[in-house]
Amino acid sequence: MPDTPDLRWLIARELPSLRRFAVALTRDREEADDLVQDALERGLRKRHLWARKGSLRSWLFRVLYTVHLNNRRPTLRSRAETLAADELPPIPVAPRQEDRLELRQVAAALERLPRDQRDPLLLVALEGMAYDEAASVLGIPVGTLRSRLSRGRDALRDLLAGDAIPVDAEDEVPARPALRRVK
Amino acid sequence: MTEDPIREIDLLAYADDRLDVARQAAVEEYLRDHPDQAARIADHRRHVALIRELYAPVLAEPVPARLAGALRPAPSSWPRHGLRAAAMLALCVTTGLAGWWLGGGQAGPPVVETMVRAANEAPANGGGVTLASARSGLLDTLLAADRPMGELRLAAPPLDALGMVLEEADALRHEDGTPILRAGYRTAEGGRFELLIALRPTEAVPTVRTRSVDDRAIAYWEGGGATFALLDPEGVVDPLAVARLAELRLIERATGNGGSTASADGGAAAESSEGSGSVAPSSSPLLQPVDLSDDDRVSDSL
Repeated sequence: MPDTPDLRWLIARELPSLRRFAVALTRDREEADDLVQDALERGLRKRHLWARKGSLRSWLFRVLYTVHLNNRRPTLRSRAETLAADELPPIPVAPRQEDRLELRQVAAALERLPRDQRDPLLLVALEGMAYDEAASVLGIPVGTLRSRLSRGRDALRDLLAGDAIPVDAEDEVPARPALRRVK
Repeated sequence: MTEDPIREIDLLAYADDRLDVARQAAVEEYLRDHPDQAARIADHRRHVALIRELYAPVLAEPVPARLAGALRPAPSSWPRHGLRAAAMLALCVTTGLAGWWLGGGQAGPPVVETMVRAANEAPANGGGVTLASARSGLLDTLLAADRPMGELRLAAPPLDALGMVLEEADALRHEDGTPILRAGYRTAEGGRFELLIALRPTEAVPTVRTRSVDDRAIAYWEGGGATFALLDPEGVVDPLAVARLAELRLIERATGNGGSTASADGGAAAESSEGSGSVAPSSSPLLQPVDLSDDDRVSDSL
């Protein structure tokens, strides 16, 4: 597919939501911007694969998610063996939000969700994607997505219920489990 | 008619506001009779709102310049593909093809601009004469039969040795009369780029440089009696590797060294007649490797 200005313009329109999803995935702004930049470069190189046959937004998110998974792969073993949960980067919450206990609890609960439940939830709840669109981004059947979404929502509800998520009152950073499972 | 029971899938869709009005009313009626489920779905909806609020600041931030820059055409990715490292391998070409003068006497960059603008104005497979598919072998067309310099042959150099397949070629002519060959190639990975070639004297500019023309990033160089411009917005190729091989193949064709234009390697050619016989390639070309380790000689400031 030829490189056209309108394509770059269309991609530029998606940059804010791509960044938001990248931040949600990586929980680190610098890493998120690296991820988006890698995804953009890959997307432009592979733009002929989109061929204007589907949603550009879905395709861009799929590219970003693929890059994200690829970036994680080489370090999984070492991270799984050595990374204690308290070393995980926190979900960034704007300073003015820090008064909002509920938001901090949601951030902490999202961190504790398994990735296969959290990522569908982010695409549907945060990005407002239709189920088939989110399934396409994640590369899973739509039925699987629904199932993971349902379990993820219930798990999030359980985590947020009662005092399931203690918050350290001193530094106001959500406390984390002793060890985070890395898949 | 049996009423369709409310299932989990309906409750999820209701939580996401994805039901039509009729089904939404049915779910609401169901929830009135099932307070536990109603509380669950209400929590789901509240969590969606909280998740959006959690990340709303990110959405409101200005996009970092480096991300916007990644969407600008090409050059930022060239160094990543070896421009800087491969600068060590650039070639200096001194050749007797200087007599092949068709460029209208313009100095370096203006010719490049003319080439790129001609290509911009001529859409692929529309602005010029589509010669043939590369797979059909030799591609011939008359490029400059009306040029005072007479009949010339310009071949789109085969780059098979780099794993790049010539897919098509156009003969373009800019309004100033400059004849240009535009050749489209495909890499082994499926990436595409274009090479523009205009015959003109070689005035010893042995460096591959980058330049922006009409917001398109190009790499250009001179050699083999021609000016080359590489349009590679995807950054799929190493410009210096292309430069080296393209010049070599062009000279081989022009001088008869290394095979004729009718070789079976997929070359494309444009040809015109030399009426007076006053112009002919002179002595064999000489390829001289030049160490271009000084990055200043390769502008990647675009």
